[in-house]
Amino acid sequence: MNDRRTDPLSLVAGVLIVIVGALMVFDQSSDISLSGGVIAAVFVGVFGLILVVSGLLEDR
Amino acid sequence: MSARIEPAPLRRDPADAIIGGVCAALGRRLGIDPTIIRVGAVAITLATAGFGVVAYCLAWLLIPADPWAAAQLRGPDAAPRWTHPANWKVAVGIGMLCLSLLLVLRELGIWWSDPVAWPLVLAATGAALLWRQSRVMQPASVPEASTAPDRPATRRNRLADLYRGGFGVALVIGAVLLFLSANNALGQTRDVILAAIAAIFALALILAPFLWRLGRNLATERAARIRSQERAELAAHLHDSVLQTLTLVQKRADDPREVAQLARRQERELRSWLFDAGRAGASESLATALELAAVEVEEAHRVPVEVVAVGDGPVDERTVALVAATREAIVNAAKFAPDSGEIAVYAELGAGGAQVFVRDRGPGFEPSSVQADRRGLRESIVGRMERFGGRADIRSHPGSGTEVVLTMQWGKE
Repeated sequence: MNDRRTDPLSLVAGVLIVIVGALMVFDQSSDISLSGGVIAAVFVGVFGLILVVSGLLEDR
Repeated sequence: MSARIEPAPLRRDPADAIIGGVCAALGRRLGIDPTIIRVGAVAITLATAGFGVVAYCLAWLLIPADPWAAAQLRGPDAAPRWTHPANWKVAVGIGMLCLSLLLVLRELGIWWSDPVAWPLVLAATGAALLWRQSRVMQPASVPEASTAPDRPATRRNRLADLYRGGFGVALVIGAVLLFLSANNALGQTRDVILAAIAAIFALALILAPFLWRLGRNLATERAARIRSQERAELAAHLHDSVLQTLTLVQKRADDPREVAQLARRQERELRSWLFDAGRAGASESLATALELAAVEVEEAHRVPVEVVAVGDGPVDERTVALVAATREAIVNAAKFAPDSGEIAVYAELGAGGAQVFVRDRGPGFEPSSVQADRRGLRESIVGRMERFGGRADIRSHPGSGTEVVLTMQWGKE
């Protein structure tokens, strides 16, 4: 069966990864300057948010 | 015309997994040997200095497991898992969000120290886990009044709940110990902890005999309560079935065929009740069970009974009690209002509960004036409903008919 319903987790994770990717691109092109600590905070925060959303959706 | 073959869905197969089943899922989806995918994943990880691990973890989170394969792996008799994976995900996620916040604060120049930050992250994770576990702990699905003995699955679920809570408590205690250790305060608290352990040990030795006796008394009291409830249920059933039949036999003593028919029906019903597990006429539908009960009373007492059931519900020990109480209410209406036309039964049935109304246009009565030795109302209707966690309301006045309202809840809708 081809399930075409939107997967909320994939949507949220995809949006977050796109945002992180955009930040990395802007940082590389020197439009913004992100320190190592901020990058680490962003990565950890995104990973944590994906885990929380995944857990909450699995529990439904 | 050629048939279009749909590619296999992207699902992780726990049975084919080395770590999380991500490579197996990709291999199945792409039609490639999972071993090749695994070799490629290792190569990418080495080439990107470990970024492949991050990508693998993300894929593990995002690709759902094959529910059929997971169920096969678990099996129908598998013990309940220590911890619900969803709770761990939320707890670790909250811990990581807490860490992320602390890292951002550090970048802004607000930083306490590592000995404060890391215990804080650990405590946040433990607290989140405890909060999640408290939400999913099994509620008491069997009512207090049930006579069902404690099944092994119930005891196993309670142990699982204890294990689940223990992880969260361990994380929080670990965070406190880490904080104390990092701030060189553990040595100072050692004497306090030793004194506390010695006091707890002494108290346990002193109180052990009393606690043991208390536990045994509680178990004895519970067994006595169960026996009493079983006796009450047996008495109610005999009143509803055998006594009612004997009353009808007396009324129709001049018709031998009718008497023989009543006796045969009662014998069949009693044999079925003694030796069969199912009670509601082997019906799997609550609405059907109510209709069968009404037909039975209609045939035995020769009064018209009209049943209207909206919705349906499951048949279990609660609903069997509901059907029995409804039957008794209809029998009472047939006995005490036989010439008052049709007895109306209206039932609202759902997944979360049921409400049944039994109405007659008889002479009515004052419920408070019913004698103490009459069991029809007190035990067979009100008592039976209360034993299984329900409620029975009797609404009647002399001259205005009678309405019996039976309410039973068994879960959320």
